[in-house]
Amino acid sequence: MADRANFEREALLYATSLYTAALHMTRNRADAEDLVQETYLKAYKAYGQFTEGTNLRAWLHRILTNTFINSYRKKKRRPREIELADDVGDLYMYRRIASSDTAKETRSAEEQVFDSLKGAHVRRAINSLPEAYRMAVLLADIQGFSYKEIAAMLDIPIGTVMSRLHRGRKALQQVLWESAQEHGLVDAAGDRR
Amino acid sequence: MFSRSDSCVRAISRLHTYLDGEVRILRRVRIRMHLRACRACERAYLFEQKLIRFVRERARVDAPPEMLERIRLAIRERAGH
Repeated sequence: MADRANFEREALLYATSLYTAALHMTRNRADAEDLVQETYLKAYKAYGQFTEGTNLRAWLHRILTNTFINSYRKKKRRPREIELADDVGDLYMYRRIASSDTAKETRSAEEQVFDSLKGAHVRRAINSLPEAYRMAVLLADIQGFSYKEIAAMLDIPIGTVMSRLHRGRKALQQVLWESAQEHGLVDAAGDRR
Repeated sequence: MFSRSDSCVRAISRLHTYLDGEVRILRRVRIRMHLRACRACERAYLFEQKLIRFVRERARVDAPPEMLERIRLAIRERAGH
């Protein structure tokens, strides 16, 4: 059983991790701050039930995810989300970068793509994914949770986690690639300026 | 470029599950051996790994100090300080 006196010191270490997740769930700062605050207060209240030595970050994220699912997502109008295409192959970005790369260039096409994508572009790309896919990508790629942990947090089977993650990652690569092109470093033909 | 053999196709189709550390031991060993032997698949693997790390790094937003302060106050209020 965990001691509440340690809560502030131990739990607040994960504020950035929780805030990053909340921001991609709610897609706006005010709601993200409220969601994180509500998560901490619920966690504080329930801290006696937390088993010390187990994964505190996962426990906090479980509370955050539940709170979001139960009270935040319903009330919000959804910003524009992309439609997921069915015909996106594996290695979407890698194949495009490989085909636009020429040995003559001093900087590789890969480096240029990474350089062109700033935090705001990456966050916007994640936020454009429909919620089911966004949650899977967020929990796996941004937070690094296992399929089993994600399945428990979202209350879905592991197979569903895998298929959402698979489709979500492909869609994310597509949006990131488009974003890199839009920012002028790789044009539609794959030539660099 | 890649996906030339059946083992390339198999390795690429499981690349993300492998990256996530979610492939069972026998299959994992088979993929690892394939990546050691096949430069093209290894490059694809390294790219996917780099991309996921990049997205994780770029997506991160520091918790605003005012929010942290509000949370600290709210916790202390409940603790009866």
